[in-house]
Amino acid sequence: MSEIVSKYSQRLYWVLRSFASSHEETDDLLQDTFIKAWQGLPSFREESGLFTWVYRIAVNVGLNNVRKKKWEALLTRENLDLITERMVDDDPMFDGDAARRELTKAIVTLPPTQRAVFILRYYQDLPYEQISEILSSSVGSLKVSYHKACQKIKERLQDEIDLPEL
Amino acid sequence: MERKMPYNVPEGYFETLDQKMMGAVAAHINKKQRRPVVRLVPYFAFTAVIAVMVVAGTVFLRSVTGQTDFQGYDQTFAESTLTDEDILNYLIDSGCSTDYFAENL
Repeated sequence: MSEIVSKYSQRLYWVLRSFASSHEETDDLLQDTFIKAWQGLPSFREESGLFTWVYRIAVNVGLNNVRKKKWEALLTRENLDLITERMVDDDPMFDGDAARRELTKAIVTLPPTQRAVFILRYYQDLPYEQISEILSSSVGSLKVSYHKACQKIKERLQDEIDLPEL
Repeated sequence: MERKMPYNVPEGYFETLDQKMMGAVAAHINKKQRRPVVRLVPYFAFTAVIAVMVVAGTVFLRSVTGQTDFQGYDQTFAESTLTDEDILNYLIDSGCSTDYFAENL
């Protein structure tokens, strides 16, 4: 277990940071990820690869966190997009210019799956084949999701940013 | 634009991260290794409370209204030990869509 932690803790931190609204929340999600990894170790099968397996756990933890917030907002009738955008503005750990802030706000308002695909492709620079294994989805549908995410971001940023091609 | 997450972390965070994560896993393992009966007590208690409330609620409603529908259900529900967290986790785990919920709210 310590090998998994030392090998992946930093990379997984940055994956989960994209699904969380603060450093503290990311830290909690990372702990959840490693606890789930420990629980799932006995059933881990070598064929999926340790990297894919650990990433899949982290992304699922992150996605569940986003869905949970969506439900909470729905039940309290709050506007989640506004809340999350405000959290980007108020985040003391944010370290970027106005364009990056806008990009981050655009990402946090994407639907969960598009958000996951965009994060893994854009920030983590993973190939579609690997993202396909992590998200258990076909390469074709991932490309569509990424394309839609890019379109939404571009519309919002009014072409201030160059996003990589599919 | 450089493709880097625009966030900092507290100073020295990554130096102690592995240790902290292993500590969290170890704490979880210790918690799991408590005696099984002791671990199950909260679940038994929770189930018993729910069962008592359902039975008592049904009897009460029927005696008050003389009907079989659940008038006063909101009050019974408000007094239950189910937290918002429990309900949210159930909705997420059961795969219920927020869009579906929003449309039918």
